[in-house]
Order: sequence, then structure tokens, then C-alpha cells
Amino acid sequence: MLHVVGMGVSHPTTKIDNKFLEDLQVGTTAEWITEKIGIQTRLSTLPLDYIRSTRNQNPAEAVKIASMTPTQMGVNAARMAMERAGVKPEQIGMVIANCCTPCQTAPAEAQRIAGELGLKVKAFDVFTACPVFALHIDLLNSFREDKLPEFTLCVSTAALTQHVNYNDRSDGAIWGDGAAAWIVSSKQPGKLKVLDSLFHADPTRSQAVVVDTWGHFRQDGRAVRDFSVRQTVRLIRAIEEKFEIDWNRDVFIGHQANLTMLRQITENRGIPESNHWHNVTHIGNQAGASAPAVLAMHWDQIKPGQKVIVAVVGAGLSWGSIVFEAV
Amino acid sequence: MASFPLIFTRRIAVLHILGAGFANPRACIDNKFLAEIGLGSVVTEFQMSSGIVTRGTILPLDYIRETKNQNPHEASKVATESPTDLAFAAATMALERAGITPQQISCIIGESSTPFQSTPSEAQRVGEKLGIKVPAYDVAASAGPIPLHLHLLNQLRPEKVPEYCLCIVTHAPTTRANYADGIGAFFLGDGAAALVVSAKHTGKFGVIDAEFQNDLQAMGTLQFDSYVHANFDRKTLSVLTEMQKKTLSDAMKRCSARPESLKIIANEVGSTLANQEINGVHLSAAMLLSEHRESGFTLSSGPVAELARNWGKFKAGETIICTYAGAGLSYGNAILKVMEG
Repeated sequence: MLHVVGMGVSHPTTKIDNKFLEDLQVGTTAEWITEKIGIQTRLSTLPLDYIRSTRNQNPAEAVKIASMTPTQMGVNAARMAMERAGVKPEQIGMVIANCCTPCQTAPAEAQRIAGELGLKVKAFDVFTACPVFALHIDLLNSFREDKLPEFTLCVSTAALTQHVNYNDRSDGAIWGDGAAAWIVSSKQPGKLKVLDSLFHADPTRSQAVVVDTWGHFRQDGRAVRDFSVRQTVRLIRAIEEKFEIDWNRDVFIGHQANLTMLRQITENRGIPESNHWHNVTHIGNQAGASAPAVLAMHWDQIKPGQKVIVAVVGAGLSWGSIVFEAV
Repeated sequence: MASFPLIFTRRIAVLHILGAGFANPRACIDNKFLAEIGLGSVVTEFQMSSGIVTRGTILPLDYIRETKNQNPHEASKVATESPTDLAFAAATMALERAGITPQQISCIIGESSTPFQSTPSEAQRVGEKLGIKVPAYDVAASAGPIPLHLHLLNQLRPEKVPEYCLCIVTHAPTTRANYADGIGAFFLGDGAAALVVSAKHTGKFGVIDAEFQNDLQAMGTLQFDSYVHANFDRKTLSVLTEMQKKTLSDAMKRCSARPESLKIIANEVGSTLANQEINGVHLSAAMLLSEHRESGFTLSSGPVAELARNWGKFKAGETIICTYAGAGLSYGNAILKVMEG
């Protein structure tokens, strides 16, 4: 049985608020963003002056002036996770990672993070962008027990604001930068026990959400939004059929794409706002770090016996779910 | 040393390789071209020791001649093929050899060190070209299906290994090579390869073992930065050559095959292994399978591409050791038993 024994997050500190985006004069208003997307601020590794003056038309320049790299955020999140788990770096037996915006396409992000932590273990990327929390848990849940190290460090990190075209009125409102980390063990009990996991994909729609290696993010917004809401609802329904879920006790965490979409999902399933955990309103969409960051930021609020349902949909198009039970 | 009887091998080989494919770009950079654009001294230095005469590229030769690829992020705009195109071609060959249709694939695992898009994953891009809706994600450490994907699949409970897992790898390192200076331009070549792997069906090769390792303190040996040239230099060559020998030595210690039934696939980047001695075993030219002379160093697609190129040449009962060392510093090996001639 797999357990999550510790989680961590890392975010940059520069805030892009809705007034800033309105002042860029690209056809959006603070009111529109709040009403349609529900995000108030998003955290970025980019200086506001840079965004204001260049609109990030050349992402190659963004990398040079960013305050943090995805690797640095990943390392910070990993350190927090290890501290919370009471695990020393030398106890980590394997590192897997996910990064939508790597500064280097080789070595792997996992290798960079493991190297910065001073680890000498196997490290490789397991990558699917946004739904990676479900993918990592599902993959590790499939290991032979004798093959899984005592502690595996999983990290998802991305700096999507470095790939946003700030002349586009929608994309700038969505993205934030950040990293999340989670430490998993099949040998040591932890705060969260994994009851179930699932990962799937529809690659025929892989071009619906794209980050160009050297260029900007782009997506078929409406199609992706509609699919995300429908698919997340399907995932939750399947979990409700399989497990005894009480939305007055149990908690839902979705992919942090935008608050409007999340509210459509929670209203459909009758999930009260008190048991809908999110952070998108003040951090933005942090890609694969989104859902695990929410869980990490609510770590001390998890109550024994509570189920935490994570259902995430994103690039690939791919999707997945995890059912945790708090121990 | 006795080799494994085939029946015993079937039982101890959980994974089987049912099909393998490879793909090279249409365009080719030969040594004459490199000399013409000012890299004559590099050609002179390395052509004898490496044996490389050509390497494939997705870049137009005119573009290389005129710009020397000084701005790598322009390369993807002029490329005549994409890494995904190459991967799709390799996958198609692998599926055909495995005797399965794309619709029978249950999972795609991918890797690319030079993707044109950092999102979605290479596996998902290939899935789109195949027109299938299956779990698809990248497992990447610049170590490819051999050794990384086989190593990972070997860690899973047998019932969790997909019935038909398509493992793809594709690299276009010429898009990150500096054709004005340095030795990367001589060594790096583009290429893709693919395997169809199963734990439920037997195939041409039984996977006896697959080991993946990395030396994180040597990460700087070879790096592919998103915006600048790859740092392939003489130190890279030297380190990769040594790691190649180390991982081959490790594999040979774990392998009980007689030398006469042993074949070795190694990315002989810097110099040939022929007539060298590893673990007291003399490596004859006949034991070594490598076409890097015509494709250059295609990173982690190399071992699988060689397996695919020699598909019809293996005899039942032979043992194949495939080794690889590359960026990461990732290295590893796989020991395969030929089940069918």
C-alpha cells in the first residue's frame, strides 16, 4: 500500500494581478478576468517591468532574467517535502519529475533536481504535464513492492509565465509558476494512504494544449475547457460509485485551471465550497504542480478518516485521479 | 560458461520484445560537406578513430551551410521533418514486425532530448499520429527504451505491464549542433527508434535484464540547453567512451553467455570496441553490431536502432548485450536472449 509521507511547494514572489493585466491594454479588464476565470493574482518568476515592456515576445530572453528556474523551485519544494516527512536526503531512493518548461531538455529535470539535492540515486522524468500527480501515483502503485525504494521523491515544476505571450488577453490571465513535491513510500506509513489511482490519455487531441520548446503556450481554449469539466465530473462520478464518499467530510481537489471551471465541477457534484480545496485564485494555473500544491498547502488541515479525491485533466490530452484516505 | 536453455529463458524473461523499428532523416551530412563548411580539421581528427562517414539530419544542408546553425531555435522552423515524424516512422516499422495494429497498443512511453514542443509529451505526439487513445507519457533521462524503458517495465508487477507497450525514442541533436566550431557537428546525428514490448506475449527477444543508472555528478558532460548549442566536446567523448566500457563490463559480468554466442550493440561514439578486451573476453569485430558509421551518435535511439537494423540477422539462442551512455550522465544496459531466429 502506497503512502504519501510528506509534501512541499515553492512559488516565486512576483505577483501579476488583474489590474496589471488590464493596464497592458490587450483587450481585457480586471472585471472580465474575475468573472470569467476567477483568478485574482498569479505568481511569476518574471519581473513586472520585463512583462510590461516586452510582453515576453521572445521567451529566450525570459529565461535569462527569471528570478528562479523550474529546477530551483523543484528543489525548494522537495526540501519542504523531506522536512515534513522527516526524511533526510540520503534516505531518498529514487527521484521522478515532470516539467513543462525545462531550461534544458537533457539531462532530465529529475536529474537536475536530484543533483542539486546532492543525491546519488536513479532519477528520470515521468512526464505528462498537468495530470502528473495522478500519473506518478498510478505508476508507483504499479511497481513490485520489492522494487520500490523506501522513499521516492516526486516533483512537478514549471514556469509557464516564461512561455506566455502577454499580448494575448487570455493566456496572461491563466498562468502562474510553481513547483510541488511529494514523497511516497510503500514501506513507511504516512499521512495519506493511496486507495485508488488512474491515468489515461487521448493523444489524438495532443495538439489542443501546446508549449513550444522555444516559443509560446497556445491552446484550443474552449474545447479544452469543456472537455476538462466533463472529464473531471466523469472521474469524480466513477469514484463516487466505487467508494463511500461524503462531501461533508471528504475533500475534492481539481486541476487548478481556473476557478470558474472548478465551480462548474463542484456544483455538478454537490461539493460544498468548504470541502473544495484550491489555490488558483491567488497563484494561477501551475500546470502539473497545481493539484499537489493545493494538497501540500492544506497539509495541516487533513483530518484522519477523511478521503481526499484528486481529479485532474490537462495537456496530452490526459487525465487521472487519486483517492487518498487520511490516516 | 553455459548459456540459458530456451525453455528456462522463457520463464525468467518476463518481458519480451516483439518488434523493433528505426528511422533516419532523408538528408545526410557526409564528411566532405563538413570539410567544405570549414570543419575539415575535425573530420581529419576523428574520421579514422570513429569510423563515422555520414550522419542524418532533419535540417536542410543549405541552412547548415549558410547559418552554421548559430541560432538553434531557428532550426525547428526550417527542419524538413520533426523528431515526431521520425518516431512515427520507427513505430510503424516496429508494429509491423510485431504483427500488431496501432489499435492493439495499450500504452505508449516516449523520450526525446530535442523535442520541438516541451508540452505535450513525445509519446502523446506519436499517439496522435497513430490515431489512438491510450495512456501515453514520457519516461526520459536521455536513456531511451534501452535501457530506461525496459528497466522501468521490469520493475512493474507483470499484470501492470501493458499488453503491448510501444516504447519510442527520437532525437534531432543536429538542431543543437554548432556547425561553425566544435566537434558535436561531426558526431551528432538524428534518428528515432521504437520497440513493441509485452509481458503477456512472447516475441523475438526475451529481456533477461535491463539496468539503468546515472552519475549525477557528471551531469555537465552532455547537456541540451533549450536555447543554445549542445556542449558536446572532447571531454564528452572521453567520458561517454569510458562509461560505455564500464556498463558493458557490468553487463558481461551478469551474462553467462559464451563469447561465440554473444553479440554486442554499443554506441561506439569515440572509437571502436573491436579487438579490445573486456572482462578477459576479446571483442571481435564479428561480435559488434554498430552502424554509427552512417548515422553518427543518435543519442539513446542508437541501441534500439541497431537492434532493429539487424532484426533478421539474429539466431535463436544468441545473447545480445545492448549498452548505452549519454546525457545525465545516464548509462545502462540490457541483456536479451534471441528466442526466434
